[in-house]
Amino acid sequence: MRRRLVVMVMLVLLVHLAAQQAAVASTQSAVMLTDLGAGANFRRLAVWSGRARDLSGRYWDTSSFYNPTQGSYFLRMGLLFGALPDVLVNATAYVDTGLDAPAMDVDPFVSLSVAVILLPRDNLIVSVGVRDLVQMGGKVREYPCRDLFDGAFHCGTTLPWTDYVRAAPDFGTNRTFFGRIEYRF
Amino acid sequence: MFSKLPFIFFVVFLAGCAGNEQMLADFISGGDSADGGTTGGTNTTALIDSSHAFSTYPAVMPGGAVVSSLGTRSLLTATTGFGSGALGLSARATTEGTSRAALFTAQIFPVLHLQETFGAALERPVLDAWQDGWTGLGQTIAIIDDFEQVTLPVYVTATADRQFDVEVESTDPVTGEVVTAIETYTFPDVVHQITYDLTHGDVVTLLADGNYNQTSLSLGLGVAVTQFSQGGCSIADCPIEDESQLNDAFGDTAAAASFVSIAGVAKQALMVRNDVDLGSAQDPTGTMRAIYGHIDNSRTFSAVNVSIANNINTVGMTYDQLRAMFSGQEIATSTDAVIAVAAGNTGAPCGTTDLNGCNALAVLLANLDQTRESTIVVGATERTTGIAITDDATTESIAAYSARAGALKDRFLLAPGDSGFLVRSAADVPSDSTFLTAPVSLAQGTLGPQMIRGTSFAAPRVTGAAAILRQKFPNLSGAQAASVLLLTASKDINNDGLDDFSGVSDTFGHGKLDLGAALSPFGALNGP
Repeated sequence: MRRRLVVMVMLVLLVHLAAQQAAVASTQSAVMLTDLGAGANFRRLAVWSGRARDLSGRYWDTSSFYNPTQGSYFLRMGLLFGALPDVLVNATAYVDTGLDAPAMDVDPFVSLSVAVILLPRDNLIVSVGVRDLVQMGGKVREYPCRDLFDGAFHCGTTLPWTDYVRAAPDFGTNRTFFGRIEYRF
Repeated sequence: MFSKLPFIFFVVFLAGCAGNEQMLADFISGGDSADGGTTGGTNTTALIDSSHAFSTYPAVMPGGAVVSSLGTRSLLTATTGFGSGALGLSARATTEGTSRAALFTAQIFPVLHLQETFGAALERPVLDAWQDGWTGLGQTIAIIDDFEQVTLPVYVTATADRQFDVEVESTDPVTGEVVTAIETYTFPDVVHQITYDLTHGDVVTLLADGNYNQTSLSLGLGVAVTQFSQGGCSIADCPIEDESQLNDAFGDTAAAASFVSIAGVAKQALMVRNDVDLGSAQDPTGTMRAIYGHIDNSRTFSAVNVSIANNINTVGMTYDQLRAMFSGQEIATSTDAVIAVAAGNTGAPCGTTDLNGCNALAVLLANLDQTRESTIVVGATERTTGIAITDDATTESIAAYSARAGALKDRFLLAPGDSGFLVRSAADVPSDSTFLTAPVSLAQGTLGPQMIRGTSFAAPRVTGAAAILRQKFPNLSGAQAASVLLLTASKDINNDGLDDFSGVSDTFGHGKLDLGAALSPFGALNGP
């Protein structure tokens, strides 16, 4: 809970910073706000729907176990500024408050993505970057459902918990390298 | 520098006009266009645009490019290659394929996966279970049976692909370095049929566990595999039958029969064999003492299989009289193992006041305080009455020879009684044996191959299922695991999609073993 509170404070600060930078951008054009997004839902990771058929064909709906028990918020903000002559840097900060659901718990997540944009010629743009270069938090925990015999099953797939754990998807947030070249003839 | 910004935004604008919102977002923000950096549940990969300069690295060539250079061995069909190799190695492999073929020196390692070989002939639910990792790993099963007395010359057949790991050497033409790699090859559609001398307990063990990984065979291809540790024969006494001879003997019928199921349900469970002498000089009291002792010793195991019957004349006998027969013998403590006991091949219901038609051992285990809750009495199904194998594998009924549930209905479960193991003809079945067989081909009758069958071979399927269940749900006690298997049984005996009874039947008990249902949630699914 304390962590979520800290993240909420960070969110507010980021919004404040965004407004400030937007104002700066509009007056000086040295720093430009290129991206701003916020929402009151959790969209960073795919969350199980809870609707599945088990091995015997029986249909289950455990979606209620994946509904957040408290609000989840995110904010994304991108800033473009000049670093060197013919070099721009685009930095995108992302922060969310995570997810707190009975069957799935995702820690708050903070990340910074950076892209460097090179302008070697008038008609050429080269950009390279790393998505989620700096990241903190975001750990995912899942908890099993129990049947009448106290057998542990994965709520989202109805697989035996021991099977699910063996083949569980990797919810980790990977750093992603990307690049782009644009040439105008 | 900022004088170029309009150009940047022009490019962005063009991208946006082209509908490439992802490109637009990537270019400007360095993030994706979703709310946040990544989408969950997937391993994200590099997003280098393949149409641009970043894609000029040499592509990793698939293994097939390497394998195609080994075409001189037409028997081999490659399934894997150097797909995971380094970029440089893969690139060379495509250009140096000829030299690789010349340097090919195959060393076939003893890694025959016979359980996979037989896999094509297994019942689908068992295959599904294996593929999902339901193998009984970490579980221990006790087989209480006769491993000494009558043996049968049983043959098994496989017609599916076999895989070999092959060490392949090649020399790098540039550096001269010898590169060694392991590749997997498949010999397609190799038919091999092998005869074992198996006891009753051997067949039961193979059905519950199988464990063909440990089979010791020489299949005429220069392949030696490891020891058959649990069945009953070693390399020396597992004679190899030439495929052509068997086909000559059985003709087309044998070929059809080769697809009969051979199931080792919990193939990775540890087996403990407990021998019980069921010879002609059997002493019921001594036999019961031995069986009770074995059950006592196995009380912490996952499952115990009892596919035997004590030689007791139960005609006119009541349960109290039966108990009195063994009043001095008791099982010391309650068992935590699921006990699967064969219902018997009487073809009759187990009576409530007259135990005629019952396997006395099943009656005892299903009623004793120490074993009642964890005991499952197993009857048999067959695909079609009187014929072990037909083309219509979907038709199923309770086997004519199988005891009916009767007084034991609350603990009664059905499973296939066809063992999948064959003998050449009825003449191969010793007259003093308790093996039950049926002709595979009605036309050939007793002269043709015979299927070994009986409730003895239905029980180990339940035993193996219990081991898998307890592998997946370690918290289940033996009594709970037995309840799960009973309560999730299918009531659709004939496979027509409709339940054939409701509740608990005097004939079918709880119904037919359904491993998939047993591994699914039972009752409600409560949240964490």
